[in-house]
Amino acid sequence: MASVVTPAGVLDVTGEKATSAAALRVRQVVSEQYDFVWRSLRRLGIPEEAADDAAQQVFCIFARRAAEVAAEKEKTFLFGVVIRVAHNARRSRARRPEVADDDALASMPTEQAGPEELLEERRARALLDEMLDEMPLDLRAVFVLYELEELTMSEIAKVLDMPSGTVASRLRRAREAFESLSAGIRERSYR
Amino acid sequence: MNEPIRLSASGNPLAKQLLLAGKRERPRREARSEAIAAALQVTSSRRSWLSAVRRRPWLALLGSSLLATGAIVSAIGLHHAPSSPGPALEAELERPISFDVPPRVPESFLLAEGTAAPSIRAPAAQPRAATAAPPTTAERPTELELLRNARIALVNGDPTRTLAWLDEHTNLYPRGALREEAAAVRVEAHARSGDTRAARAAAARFAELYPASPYGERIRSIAASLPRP
Repeated sequence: MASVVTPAGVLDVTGEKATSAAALRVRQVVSEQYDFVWRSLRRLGIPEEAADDAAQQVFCIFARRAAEVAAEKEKTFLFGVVIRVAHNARRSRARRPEVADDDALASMPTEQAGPEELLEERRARALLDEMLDEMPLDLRAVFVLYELEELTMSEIAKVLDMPSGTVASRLRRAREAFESLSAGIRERSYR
Repeated sequence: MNEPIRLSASGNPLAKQLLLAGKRERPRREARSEAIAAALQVTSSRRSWLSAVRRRPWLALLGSSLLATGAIVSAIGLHHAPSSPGPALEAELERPISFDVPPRVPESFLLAEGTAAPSIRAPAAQPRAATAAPPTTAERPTELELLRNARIALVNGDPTRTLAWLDEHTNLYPRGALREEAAAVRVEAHARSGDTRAARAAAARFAELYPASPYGERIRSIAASLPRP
């Protein structure tokens, strides 16, 4: 077996057997779950320019702990890390007063932003994110998984590791909040 | 459990529009392969360290003392890990995302001078020149660094140098964890250099070695775009 001397000692640089199983699993999980993780990060508040790095970080944490994560818990683990990344991002933004703009939502759709502009994809997503920003993270997570990732409520209960009743009540509150926000915005846009 | 109809189908028009826009958002195609490479590098680093400890048990003591200072926690990932993402992850996530990240320019993937440890996130400062030659000194770049440099050279329109970096990768890591990524980049480098024959051969070899690869579609697309012999 090939090896090389480094300041840390003699390292195995081939390790074919060890590579295969762990690397194969990591590669497969990243391939299958990348879009889900990336989009979840985006909808939980990570800006587009930071989402690639955040997703990479999520998968590096998974790779580091893969041996301890059961196959059926992979998505639960990944989304758990996603939520923590999003939570830290919120705290980080909250520490920067210039970013905390309480009027952002109200000012988004104005007279100069008519229905035609709202059709533009990027702007629509920005508005979506502004609305999601209004929700507490626990409601937002359930809303994103159900409405955007189209998981069933029982799947969400598994991913978030919480009782089905809690998922149902959070989803109901989140949907009410979202519908009320979007109705208010529509009203202002067409006024 | 009663599942309500999703708002993208049943909500008011604005709610539908916004939710559909959210569903349609996709990451960059390359971002997935970059994440695979970074995650595999973590797997590889961890394996190498554990292997080293098996060979040199005193390294575990050294590792423990360094871990106590937190100096190599993130570099090696040997610390105790919970089975689920619980509070112990906080420390790891305390150093996470910069919201003032520079634009993703190719140079951001280059090695910083003197970089020795694998870096999960692309070092952005003091990059080595994009056209730097593969290392000939005793320094040993990581697989990820070699692959990054190969990709940068490719993005910069220098497939010859890309192939030089890939050859260096093959020499240093003949059985490395990122062989699949290297093989995929090699196909593209040959194609961009205009060496159709080599590109076809590399694509055929890739398909043979990695039939279920996530890069398979891209490689097939490159092969299909090659001019007929």
